[in-house]
Amino acid sequence: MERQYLSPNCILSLQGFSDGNNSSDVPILSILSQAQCQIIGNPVILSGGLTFIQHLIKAVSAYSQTLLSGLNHTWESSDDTDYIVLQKIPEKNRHLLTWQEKKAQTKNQLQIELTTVQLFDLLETIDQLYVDKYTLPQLEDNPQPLSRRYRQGEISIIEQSTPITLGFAGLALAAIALFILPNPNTIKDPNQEPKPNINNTQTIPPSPPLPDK
Amino acid sequence: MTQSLSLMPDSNSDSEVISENISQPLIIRQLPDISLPSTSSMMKLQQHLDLLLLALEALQLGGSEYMLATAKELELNGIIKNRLSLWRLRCSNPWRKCYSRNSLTLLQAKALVCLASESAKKCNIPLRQLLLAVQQMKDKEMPLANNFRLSEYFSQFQAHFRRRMNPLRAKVSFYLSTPEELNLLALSLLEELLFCTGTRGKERFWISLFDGEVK
Repeated sequence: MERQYLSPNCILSLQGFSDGNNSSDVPILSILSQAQCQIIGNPVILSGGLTFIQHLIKAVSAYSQTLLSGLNHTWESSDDTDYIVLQKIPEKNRHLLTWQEKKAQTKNQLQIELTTVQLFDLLETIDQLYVDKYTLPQLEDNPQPLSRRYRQGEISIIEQSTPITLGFAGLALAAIALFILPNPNTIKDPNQEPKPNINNTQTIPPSPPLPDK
Repeated sequence: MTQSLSLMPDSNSDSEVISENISQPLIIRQLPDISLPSTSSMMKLQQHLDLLLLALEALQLGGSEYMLATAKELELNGIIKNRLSLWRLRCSNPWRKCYSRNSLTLLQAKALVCLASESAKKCNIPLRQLLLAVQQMKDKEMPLANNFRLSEYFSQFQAHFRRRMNPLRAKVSFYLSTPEELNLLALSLLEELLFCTGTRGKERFWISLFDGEVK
């Protein structure tokens, strides 16, 4: 049997068959023969078996979460075949998807450049596959929020520099204000001022007693 | 356990009380429960959600009316009753002039994410057209503002931003004084909106809001 998942820029096709343990009316494609992934307009077609589709899902899912939050989502597999990785090409405003037959070897390698819209459409077909409970229900993709320790050092440059910039600006303003104030060099030494003349002090005579009522 | 939240009272001193244990709309239940982070992290989250909705309003004239209609379709009108209650939720954005110092509850945050996601789906065509235009202009190394649609979007975004955000906030002041940076912000929100339109879009976006905030 064949299942296809479509988006405006991507076709994801899966061929396989059921393992016979099927209690639903709709046959479940539980054993994969081959999967193919094609970006419309691009001659490169990625294909492979279960490991390929599992790695494709994990790589695209992790990369998409990374794009959304700016924090790096990674994925691991004990199987180093069908290695898939995505990275940004900032100068082209694009993303590069690389498939390698083996993780450590670059000789058998395919690469596809994707615009953000094409990347999203690839993600969309993968998510359509994931939510289809009649096709490879054993596939796993559960993105989780990253913990706080991933955030260290990820604060944007703007956020980091704003308090420092404001601090410097405040210091500069204070320095300017203090510079403008005149130097207090005309205050007389109070010890040298003439003392008040005690001989001129007059004694106030006591007031007459009030008459008794 | 029942939690209730009272929002700011309106001019008639009526307060809206929302009980968290009312049966949640189906769409809300599709988003996993995540422990809400600290107040400062919630402020960032609230700011992000408000800006995303602002981008939607800039994308489509009359966007706020469509959003309210969408809230009703999604049966979110227990949480987002009317224009006023949506505005109050959005005033949890610390950048706003009307910043209310309220924090969103889990239910309210989920409702806004669902609203943003479903509203974005309805704007799928203009959204994709704009992003396609961005790619084409960048490939040709032409200024983005030369594209009429992009220019309109940037203008609308800037107008909403300028009208609503508090210029005494350092970050707001930065954006108001550097329109190129504000346009970059507007573009990044467009890309997020695109991801929100996906089959698992709102779930993915919801999780991304908590990246770096959970234990």
